[in-house]
Amino acid sequence: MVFGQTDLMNYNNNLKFARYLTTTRQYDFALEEYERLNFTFPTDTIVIYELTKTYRIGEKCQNMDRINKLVTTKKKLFKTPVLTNEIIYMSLICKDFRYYDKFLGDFDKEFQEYFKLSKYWISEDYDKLKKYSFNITPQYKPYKSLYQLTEKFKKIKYKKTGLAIMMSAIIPGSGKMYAKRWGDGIMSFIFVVSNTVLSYRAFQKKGIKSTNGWIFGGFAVSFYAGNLWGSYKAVKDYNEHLNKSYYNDAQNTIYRSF
Amino acid sequence: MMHKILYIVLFNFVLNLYAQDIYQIKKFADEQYRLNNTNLALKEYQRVFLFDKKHEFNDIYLKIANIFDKKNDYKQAIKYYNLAWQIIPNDSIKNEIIFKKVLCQLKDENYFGALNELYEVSDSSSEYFKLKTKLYEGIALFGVGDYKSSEKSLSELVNQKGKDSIKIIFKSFIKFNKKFNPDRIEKMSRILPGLGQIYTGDIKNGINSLALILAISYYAALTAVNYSWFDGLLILSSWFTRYYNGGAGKARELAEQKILKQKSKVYDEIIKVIENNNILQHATQ
Repeated sequence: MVFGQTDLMNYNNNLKFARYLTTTRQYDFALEEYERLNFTFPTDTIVIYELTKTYRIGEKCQNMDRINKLVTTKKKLFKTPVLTNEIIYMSLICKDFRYYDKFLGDFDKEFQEYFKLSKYWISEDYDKLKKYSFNITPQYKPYKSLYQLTEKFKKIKYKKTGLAIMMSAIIPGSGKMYAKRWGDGIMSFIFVVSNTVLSYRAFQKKGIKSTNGWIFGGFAVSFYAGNLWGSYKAVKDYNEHLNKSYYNDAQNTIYRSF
Repeated sequence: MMHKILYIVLFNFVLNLYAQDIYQIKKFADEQYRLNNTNLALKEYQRVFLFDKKHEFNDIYLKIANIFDKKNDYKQAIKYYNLAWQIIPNDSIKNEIIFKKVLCQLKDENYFGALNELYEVSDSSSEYFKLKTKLYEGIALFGVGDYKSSEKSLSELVNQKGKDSIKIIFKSFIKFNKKFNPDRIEKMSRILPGLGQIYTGDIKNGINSLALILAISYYAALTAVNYSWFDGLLILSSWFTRYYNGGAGKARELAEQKILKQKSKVYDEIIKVIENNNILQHATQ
């Protein structure tokens, strides 16, 4: 018994088991194993790196403070900023940038630029994103794609809310059609026009005392006004949707680079 | 030489005071399983699973699968049920494992997956397995919406007390389905606006819809008489069309939601009957 037995709780076996748990996506179990290993072997860089990485791929955003403590105290043990990478990735996944800027200095200029840009994208800070200018020629492939996407994003021609309101003021529903909401636009046109015609014909036939004239005139005015607001809203939604589609592309580029 | 051997033996003994071998871990996991500490048991059983190169602890597969099953992690549960199925030589136990897999697929609402698993049930003269297969097949067919075949499978379960409860649940659902058929409900709202909504239980909106359409129609007719037929038609073209079609569409949506809700309710009832095993217990008596 004594000679033939293997200690399952030794370093190698614990690490092997923690890796198995990670690959089978049982992150809570895996983190228990990695934390125990880290407690027993506090300077082991493989354990520290895999522990941090498991927090990240398990998306344990509630443990951001723990990651910060780990990276701050243990990053000196690493020759390259692999550990710092993990807190940067984690911040981008969790959209939690409390510790982000503090670690950017660990990277060379190209990566610093890439991570700054990534932060603006993920936090949807479009004003800063559009003001951001690039000072270096990108070599890193994801940086190139994000750079190109940002340039394209800067050149987006948004639909103008003022123009939509003006269009709908002249031809009811056309502002909505301008925002590519064709069905809604046609329906608005029919409603405003039919109620206006009804009101006009009623006034023409029975004069100013025509009940129908006032009723349908009232409807026509309220639909007309509502349509102006609707056109403004339609353009707003259209522009937001446009931003969102670029945001999704940027997010994919950033997350794929991890 | 004697000293050297004694030294090695003592050294290993000291080491083993702190080390934990696979037998100790297995024993610990079994104890946690017994105490119902399922999370700890699950982790330690998986540790045994990973290091059990000689396949000494084949009983753990079923235990791991059962824990994953309880934790509603059906994909992992099926993975371990498969492993258990491979190493167990007994056909009856193999079949029971398949049924556990089928139940996982049903709980996961993967009905085609459940039907697929049922093909694995080995031919057996046992009435129990035949009935159980039919029952599970009936549930899966019910899930995919093939109610006729489902009824056929379930009706083969004869002379059982539980069969009646399944049949009642099933019949009432078919009746419910017919009663709230979306086409029928939509038609009702087209014949008399608001009727579909009222029938599906949305009385407030149904009355609203009816009142609105009546008011529009009345006003359109009044306008046609007092002004011209063209003016009346103009009212109908926008107001009537919008609220008439909208109301009918809404009624259809309501019926679809109602059926879906009922299907899920009925499905849970059937699963409960199976889990309690009452039907099969009665069947084998």
